[in-house]
Amino acid sequence: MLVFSDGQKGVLWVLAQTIAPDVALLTQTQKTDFFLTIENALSKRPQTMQRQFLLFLKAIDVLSVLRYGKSLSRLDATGRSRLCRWLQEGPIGLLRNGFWGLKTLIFMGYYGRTEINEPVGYRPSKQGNTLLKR
Amino acid sequence: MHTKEFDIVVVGSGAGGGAVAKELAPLAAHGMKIAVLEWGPKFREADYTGREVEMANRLYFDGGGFLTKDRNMTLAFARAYGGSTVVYTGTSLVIPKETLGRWGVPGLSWDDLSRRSQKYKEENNVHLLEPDLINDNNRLFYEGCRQLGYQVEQFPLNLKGCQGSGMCNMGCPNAAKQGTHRVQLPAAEKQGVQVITRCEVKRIDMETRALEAVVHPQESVGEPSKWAPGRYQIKAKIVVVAAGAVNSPALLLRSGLGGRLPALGRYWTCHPALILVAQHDRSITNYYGHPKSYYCDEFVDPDKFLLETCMYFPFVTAKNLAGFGPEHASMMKRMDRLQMILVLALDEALAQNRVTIDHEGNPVVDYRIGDQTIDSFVASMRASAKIFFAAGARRVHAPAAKKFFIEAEEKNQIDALITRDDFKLGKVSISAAHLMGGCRMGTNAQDSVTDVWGQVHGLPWLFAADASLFPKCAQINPYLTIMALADRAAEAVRSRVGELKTQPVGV
Repeated sequence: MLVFSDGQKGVLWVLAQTIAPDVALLTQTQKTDFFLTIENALSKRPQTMQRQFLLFLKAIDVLSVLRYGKSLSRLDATGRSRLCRWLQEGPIGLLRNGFWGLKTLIFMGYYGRTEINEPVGYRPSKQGNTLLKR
Repeated sequence: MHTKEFDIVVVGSGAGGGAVAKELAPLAAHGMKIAVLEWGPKFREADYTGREVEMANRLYFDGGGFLTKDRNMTLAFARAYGGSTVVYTGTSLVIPKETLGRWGVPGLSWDDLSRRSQKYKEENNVHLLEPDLINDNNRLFYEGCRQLGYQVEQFPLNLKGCQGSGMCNMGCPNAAKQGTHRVQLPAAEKQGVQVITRCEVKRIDMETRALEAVVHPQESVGEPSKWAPGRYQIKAKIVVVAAGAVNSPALLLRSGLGGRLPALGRYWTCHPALILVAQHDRSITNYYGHPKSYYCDEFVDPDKFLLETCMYFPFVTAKNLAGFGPEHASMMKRMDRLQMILVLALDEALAQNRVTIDHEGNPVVDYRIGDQTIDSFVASMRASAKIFFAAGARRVHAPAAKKFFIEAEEKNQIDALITRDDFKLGKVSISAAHLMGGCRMGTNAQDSVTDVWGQVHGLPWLFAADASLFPKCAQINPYLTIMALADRAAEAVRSRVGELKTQPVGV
């Protein structure tokens, strides 16, 4: 089972706030679940992929220094957003793939929780047709 | 190592394996030993919770996010009693005559496939949904298409007692969808076919015809397997491989057939898909009711894409939007206002797109999103944006647009705002669930794997009977065609019954 170090959680949390800003509203328990969901999802993947993901987190920090002269945690919100946009749309396919994977895991951690359903206006029902006909 | 002996073993219990099991069941009723080996568990009604991530992990390989080798696309395919029929939406279309003509397989006639498809339509209670059960998400698509003069058709669906949970892709919680887990497998079991769940087949010994398999231990959900956990050697006289377009080629490659059959694993197609999303300025009924009522085949020629209605859940929706941050969050905050369209690109069957195996024998899908598919995607985003706006959407998100939202006021600039230059692999979420090919049927062992009846070239005891048989993509939702082809394979197996009676097992 993959378990993030405090440092890895720190980088991931900074990125999560840029990618899904509402994560900032999570309680401590929900934040723990958020990381647990991502750890669980990654643990089911091959070890190579897990290592690549952790390496990618490090690489983002390095790229932040190279591009903006500051580590990720010292960048302001605009700088982080710009960095993420470059990762997503930049010329390097490998980075775009990595960022897509990172985004997907963050969205899974946040939007994959059943508690999110009500706040986002998703109220599923096994008897949907009953509500359809109202 | 446990040892078992059967006359016929079917690997996989989805549309192909389930159809074969039912068609061969009368043989079991007359004393033949037939087993279906299914990797996944048999789920109980209570196991279908409708919780998105939980169900994705229970039902799908890699939680529905099986990555292709270059990581530009994810594949969704299931493992369960019923295979991917547990998670499809039940759209039941007969393959078009033109498509079969394009396949160009001598001896495979449209009349024959159509007749067999019709049989399964009746068996699976296929019908059109009543108008009062069609939600806004579907109705708006229909109206948008009609307003633009696009051809739009209603999907026939295989439902019985649908309650409109909208949770089809997580497994129906109301037992309404008539997949093989509801129809063919129970019918086969009644006649004596054994279905062994949690049973992963590792390889087939080509000399002895024995399958090496592992029965996995019981987990927290699903019924226990009928066999104890452990390693098994399963001897058979006839083997039917129906593990799907990823696992069937991988199983045959692990079994050493790659050298003998150069086309094995190749010519793999999958209808690469985009999920496109628009926002209305009011709540619409979208996640109540069946998610898939209509399709538009206006663009099959020359643009090579199909449009269908769809509706997904919060996480899948979030990951399919290209972008992040406040705009993304603002789209996600109103799931009740979202309209969705599914794009299916009709991809070419190319030899280089293929299933291989890694050093541990796990399947690797080596598939490149080609220029034609990207062109189809760009054209499909433009067409979909026009449909969304014609249906009254306030704003549209297109993954290859110059900005996150295209507003209704900009609807006349769609072609300028959605361009090929802005389509970047890796940025755009591409997924696929119609996995086809890898054991394509044909006439010779150089460019195909099986004959027109699904028998593997040169091996009269070995058959494929699933979507891996498709020589090219189906250009429609494929499950009914899978069943029709499996029906043919079952017929070919039945014709060998005389030989079986005099043949010792495992020789």
